[in-house]
Amino acid sequence: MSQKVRRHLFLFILVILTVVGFFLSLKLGAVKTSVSELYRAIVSGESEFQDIFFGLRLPRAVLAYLVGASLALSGAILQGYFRNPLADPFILGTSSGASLGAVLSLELGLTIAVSGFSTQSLAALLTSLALVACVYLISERRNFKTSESLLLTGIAAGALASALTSFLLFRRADAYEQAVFWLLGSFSLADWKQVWLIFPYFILSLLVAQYLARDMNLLVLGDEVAMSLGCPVKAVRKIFLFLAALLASFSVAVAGIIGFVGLIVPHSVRLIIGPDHRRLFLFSALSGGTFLLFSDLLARTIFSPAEIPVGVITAAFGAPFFIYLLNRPGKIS
Amino acid sequence: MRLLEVENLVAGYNHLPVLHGVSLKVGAGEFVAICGPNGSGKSTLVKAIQRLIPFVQGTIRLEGQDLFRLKTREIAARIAYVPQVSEPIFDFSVEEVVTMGRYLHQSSRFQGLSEKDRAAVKQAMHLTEISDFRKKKISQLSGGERQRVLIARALAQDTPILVLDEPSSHLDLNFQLQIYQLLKRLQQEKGKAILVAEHNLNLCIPYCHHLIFLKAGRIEAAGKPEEIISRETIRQVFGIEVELRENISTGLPEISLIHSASRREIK
Repeated sequence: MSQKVRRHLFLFILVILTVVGFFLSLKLGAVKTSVSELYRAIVSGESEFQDIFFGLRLPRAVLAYLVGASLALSGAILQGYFRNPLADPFILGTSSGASLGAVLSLELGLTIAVSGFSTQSLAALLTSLALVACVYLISERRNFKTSESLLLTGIAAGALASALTSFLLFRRADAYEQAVFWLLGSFSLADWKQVWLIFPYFILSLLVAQYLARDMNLLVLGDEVAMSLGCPVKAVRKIFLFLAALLASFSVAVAGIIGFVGLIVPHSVRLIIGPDHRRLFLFSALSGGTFLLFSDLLARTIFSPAEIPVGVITAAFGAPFFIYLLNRPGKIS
Repeated sequence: MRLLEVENLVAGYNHLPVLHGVSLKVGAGEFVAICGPNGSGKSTLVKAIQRLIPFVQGTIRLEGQDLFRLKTREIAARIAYVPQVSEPIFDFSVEEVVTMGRYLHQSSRFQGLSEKDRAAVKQAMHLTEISDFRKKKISQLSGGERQRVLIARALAQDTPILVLDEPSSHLDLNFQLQIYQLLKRLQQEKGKAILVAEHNLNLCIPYCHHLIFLKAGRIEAAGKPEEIISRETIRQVFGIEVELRENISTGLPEISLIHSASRREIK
């Protein structure tokens, strides 16, 4: 099968899955609703479940899709950035930074209201971005092999933030329940405000990434080679790092830490359509969205009416699949 | 005006100089080889003249223009670089890699390749004889084939100067010869100036006009190969005693290693 046919088939399957995923997300839930109710709600807008369909289930599905797409795009960017197919969106410390911010705001009893953000979301977003900024500034001081030092500094800073989070939780056992939201990820608080909050950043990031996709193709060959081919490496690297951090931070702020999406989705997409970032970015975003849409559907329906954290689902399905990929005969990337 | 003029170049990593005041010139259509032992600064030199490493000082002029005032893409429009072959991390196809050489020529980011781009890629693959496996992945190729793909990418870049870093390493005798014959053809037929860092003296002597011996970051000797190659120069640069003989096919000097156990006194 040629690359092109493969790509078109993949896109076709993705579109079908997305449509099915959104349909099931609207149809299924703790309250029993029928297909005819859903049909009436869509066509005439006169269903007794109108609020459940369009006030609860739809924004939740859209948010799950956007977060999945953001995480996968962030992962695709960072795997190229670090030239390492095992990099993920949280490698810079975004996740640890965000959970520290959320737990800290609970601990201090802060209340800051900004449209669309809960206090914890805002604290999570700010600490996460601040941590990445620190990591970047520390590693930038060594101008030789910046990306390696960035990777290691990110891991160290992440560990430090995690330690602080654990310490805070250890002192306040009652905060643990609320903190689980961030530590394992959930869309149970999803509403339209959050959707509109992250939507513009996601679209903007996708457009910029797509615009610079050719440069990323050169970057993965090595900085020296990229420069010799004419790519302004330093500027491009800065932009990509900013995009990846922004996407990951916003995702964590609205949905907590959802692991594995940003790692396995871009990786798997690369295996299917090849490493060309002009396609990889877009296809990763679409696949990540679809993957998280179904993961959240499972998270809220398996033990309905109880919900399990969506991070549990992504890891439970993601990890075995990833081990399979790694053990496949042939190359990893 | 020379294509490339380097004066008093000091360059290295982390502010530790590897090169201590190197000067050289490359004219249009010239074939220049830089030889020297491991660690003498060959790779650093070929990277420094393209500003690929952070620490570079001295005067470098590309077509008369100050290298430090040029943009990355302006340098790339004049010098194409063939790095040493390495393992691919992301497995692009041969054609994709060669097409990357057209980066600086592509005006629009969302449009595909222009006719000119396509023609340049096709010709580069034709010259390096890799057209037959253009759909293959880099990981499926041998070292010699990968080297040719990297040369094709540099050719697609369409520059007056071609710089190569140890193009013969990892290659067997047959491929070493093929690569140098290809370079000679590019120099003669396409008028390219070629600058090559090479540790295999016997390989580059018949091909280069100008040979530069580098030792510990300084130029030890420079000139036409037949004029500067002597037992004394080799002793100075490489620290070994050799015999010289005449190559049967070229009549040029050739290094003959002395293999007897008493080659060097054991202290």
